[in-house]
Amino acid sequence: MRQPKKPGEALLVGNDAEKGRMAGQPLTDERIVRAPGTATARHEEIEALLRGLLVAARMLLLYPAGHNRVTRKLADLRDDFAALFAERAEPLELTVAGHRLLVGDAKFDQFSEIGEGFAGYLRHRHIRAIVIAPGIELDEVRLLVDLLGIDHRALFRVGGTKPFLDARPHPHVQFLLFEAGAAPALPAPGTGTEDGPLNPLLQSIADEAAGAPGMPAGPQGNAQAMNSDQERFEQQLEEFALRDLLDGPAQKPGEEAVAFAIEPGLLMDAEIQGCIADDGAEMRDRMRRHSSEDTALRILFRMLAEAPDEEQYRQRRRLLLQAVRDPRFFTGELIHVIRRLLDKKDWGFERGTELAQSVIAYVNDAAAVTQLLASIPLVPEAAKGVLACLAAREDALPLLGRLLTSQLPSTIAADLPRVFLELAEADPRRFTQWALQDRPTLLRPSVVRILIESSSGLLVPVCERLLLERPAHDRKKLLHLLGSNGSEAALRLLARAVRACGPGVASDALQTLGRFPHPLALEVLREVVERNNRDDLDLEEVEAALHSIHALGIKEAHALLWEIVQSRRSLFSYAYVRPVRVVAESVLQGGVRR
Amino acid sequence: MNDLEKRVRDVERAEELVRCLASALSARRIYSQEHPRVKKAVRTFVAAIRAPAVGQPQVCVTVTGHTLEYEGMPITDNTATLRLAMCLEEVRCSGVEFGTGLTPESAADFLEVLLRGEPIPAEGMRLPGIQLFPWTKEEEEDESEFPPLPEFDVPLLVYRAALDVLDQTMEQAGARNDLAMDDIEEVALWTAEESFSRGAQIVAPTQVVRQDKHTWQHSVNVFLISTAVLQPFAKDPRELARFGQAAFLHDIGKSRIPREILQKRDRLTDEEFAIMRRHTEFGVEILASCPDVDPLALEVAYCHHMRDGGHGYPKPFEGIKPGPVSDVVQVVDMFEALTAPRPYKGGLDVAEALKVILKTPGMEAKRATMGLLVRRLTLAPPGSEVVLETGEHAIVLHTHDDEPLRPLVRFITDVKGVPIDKPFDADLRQYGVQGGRSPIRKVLLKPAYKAL
Ligand SMILES: [Fe+2]
Ligand SMILES: [Fe+2]
Repeated sequence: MRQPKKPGEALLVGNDAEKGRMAGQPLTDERIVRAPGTATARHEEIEALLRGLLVAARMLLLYPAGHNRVTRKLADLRDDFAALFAERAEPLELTVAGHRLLVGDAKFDQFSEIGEGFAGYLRHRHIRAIVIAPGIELDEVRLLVDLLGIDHRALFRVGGTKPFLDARPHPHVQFLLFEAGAAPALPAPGTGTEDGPLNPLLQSIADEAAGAPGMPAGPQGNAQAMNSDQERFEQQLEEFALRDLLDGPAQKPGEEAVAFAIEPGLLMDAEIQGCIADDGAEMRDRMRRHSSEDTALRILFRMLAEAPDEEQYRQRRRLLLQAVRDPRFFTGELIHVIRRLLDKKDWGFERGTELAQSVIAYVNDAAAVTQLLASIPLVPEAAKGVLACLAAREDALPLLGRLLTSQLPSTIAADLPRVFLELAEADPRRFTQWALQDRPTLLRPSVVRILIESSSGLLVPVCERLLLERPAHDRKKLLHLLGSNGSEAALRLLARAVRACGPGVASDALQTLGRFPHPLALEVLREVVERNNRDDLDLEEVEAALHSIHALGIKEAHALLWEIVQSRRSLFSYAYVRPVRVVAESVLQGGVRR
Repeated sequence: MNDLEKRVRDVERAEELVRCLASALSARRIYSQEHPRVKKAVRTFVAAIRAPAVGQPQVCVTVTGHTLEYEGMPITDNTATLRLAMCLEEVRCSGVEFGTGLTPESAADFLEVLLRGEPIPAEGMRLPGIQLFPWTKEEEEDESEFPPLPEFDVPLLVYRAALDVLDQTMEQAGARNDLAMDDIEEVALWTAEESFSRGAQIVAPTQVVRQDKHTWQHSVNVFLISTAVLQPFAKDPRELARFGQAAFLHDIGKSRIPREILQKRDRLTDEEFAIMRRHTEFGVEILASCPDVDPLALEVAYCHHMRDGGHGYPKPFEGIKPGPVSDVVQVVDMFEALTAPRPYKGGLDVAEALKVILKTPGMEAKRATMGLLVRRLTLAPPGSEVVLETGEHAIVLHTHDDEPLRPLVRFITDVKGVPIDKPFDADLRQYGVQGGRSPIRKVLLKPAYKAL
């Protein structure tokens, strides 16, 4: 071991100290220069390394020597050094310059907090510079870490930094020490302020805070720059890196409660760094695109397909059918899934068809069912099944009524009227109820036509109600449909309705009768005239009836009018009361129609 | 009928009444005034007060420290009644008397008063059939003398409420495939609302209360952490509550797994593991059998163990891919499981857990999701005990968003660590490192919550 040649000259400690380029070089604060661009990039790596060393030092305080987390961390550091030196052949020089740290010739100003903190640790251990050569080994990393982590008192006990370093070989690392007196002397044990063991890192921080103005005052110094979430988070973790906030090892068995520890290295870990780089944009994007309805539907179908036995199948089928009643599940996906069910390949014909039918029948929204049926081609057999299922629904009438008015593939459309009528005939009262409620559907030409052609008389009670009803809008529409239909069936229907109505029937109904040149129409109209053949007659009704009789344009009608007009002169005079005769006369003479 | 019986009847009636009122309030939180569910709940409430009474027709309920009492008897508390009590406290109401003059209109008005949260007038408030009593002088003084409730009080209440509901839920689901969705909705909405106003603070209890005493604590933790993680992505508390509910129910299928397997300490055998894996399917079955099931909950229950590249279970199937919410629940689920202390092992710490997750096959692409999780963890969560540079011990009351390590604290010891007589509060933002008190030196991971 050599002695310093003259005061102020540095002492180089190292197993092959002669290689040290540092020896004899004056190290002054004036040599602070900006780092060139390439060096800046490397600064980040170096900063990560320095942090890593500090973190490892802290871990040594928390974990027993040989703990696998410590060894892992040391090995990682060794690898990091290797990676650093893979890019640069020359050694890494870390020099303390006042309160700053120099890396090579450049001031380590980019992350001054880490740099200054590190410089502080070195100064307190009387180290002026460290030169780390390529090929640094695990034990040397450990030495560096130990040096950073060692307690003041422990260092004093071994006689200071130099004996501490000399005790262990470190061929790739050289330490340049301050000359005794150039830096503050190490306090002797007991002369420290506190009793009890002191955390060395805290001590150095405390020392800095007490005496050295260069130490940053924590995050407040650069608080204004920290505004985004990311920066705040980094700041939060950085504080952890520089402070000792952990309270011991992981929980032991049987211990009551422990929070999950957040270790100081969390942020410094490159992997985790990578994680927090994303600000959630990706998440937002996925949220927009993803449909859990579709996924849930597929899950339900898959589980059904994979049902281990028949009982499970039935149970899961029930769940699926229950789910599709929920309008939220009605998505384009459902159409897709049903199509696949009908494709023999996956499910087999029978089961697939059965399931498809049931699913369609269970969808709880008429518009959705219509859409499904309109977009899925069904073979006639399947169509029959679907219709049967639909007819079994609670809301079958409105649903089928609605379907009647929609454009559907022919397989469904062909059978639909039959099913609809069967359903209606099975419970005519309910039909009437529905018809009167859902008039927009009822009064569609296609629906009325089907009902007329069925000649089932289903429409009679509905018609009757509408004939008596005011306002007249729906009645007019129905009468128009019946009149323009012109078939005998329509006539019969109307005739029955008019007869059922009795006195006070709307005059437009009588007018509509006039459009059917048929004895039945005449018969009904005659009945109306006859029932008014009294003193308290309803002149309006009589007029309408007589006009309609005239409009019939058939021989018998004409004859009837003549009979009425002439009844006064007949043998049985006054067969018709006077007003009736007068009106009939005016009708015959082409009198003004009201 | 003897006196005791009469009294029991009266208490039962009061309980019924409070429960009806509380559920009406919950419904009103979720739906508009005109919604059929709200109307129905209000009608039920009115019917409850009109039900024939044995004793007095009026019912007077008082509020004491988050609990409702009827003639000094605490009324069974569930989440809804707890929140009702808190609402009454917020409007500075010491008690309410309900009479038979109550009408659906006045009941609805009363709900609005509670929801608005503005203090009632000093002389009290009177609605048809309802009388609200203001705080007494002493209570007002109490309020001014004592500092407001510590910030972590509410997250803790949420946490406990969630535990309660989950316990019930699991029991019900196991026994008869039936979920009390109302309660779950309620607690999810509460959590979501707190998450919107308190940010990640609602995670704090999951960090600090870690004893493994409740079988379903895992689910509650996953629920709270997921809610906090997803909060920035929800447009309002209602949507967040939907996400939360899905997380809450993610392991509902475990209610059908035999206890011996669930609580087994050793490694599971292959057969046992095969049964365990079926909890995803069971979950779907249970959820799909309740009316109005949320498709999202179905998805999460099924997909939360499904990883990329065919890892995990169930095996991938065309078109079934975990969505973003499932991803969050999955990451949080693993994270929680890894960090949780078990009777036979301590939990991993955060960094280790995250690394384990990253190294899990099929999780490589979940980095971004993990990042979202890391951001939501609080380093000195409210409720934890800290040691300051001076040596004083303090309890964190509130963590400021901008300076998490300079929280609002309550000093409880002097510099030597000796407890002090009069604890006092201080905001550490006002203390720098240099001069005066310096901020936190250590976070003691002591269960400060236990003392509460
Ligand atoms: Fe699970
Ligand atoms: Fe789980």
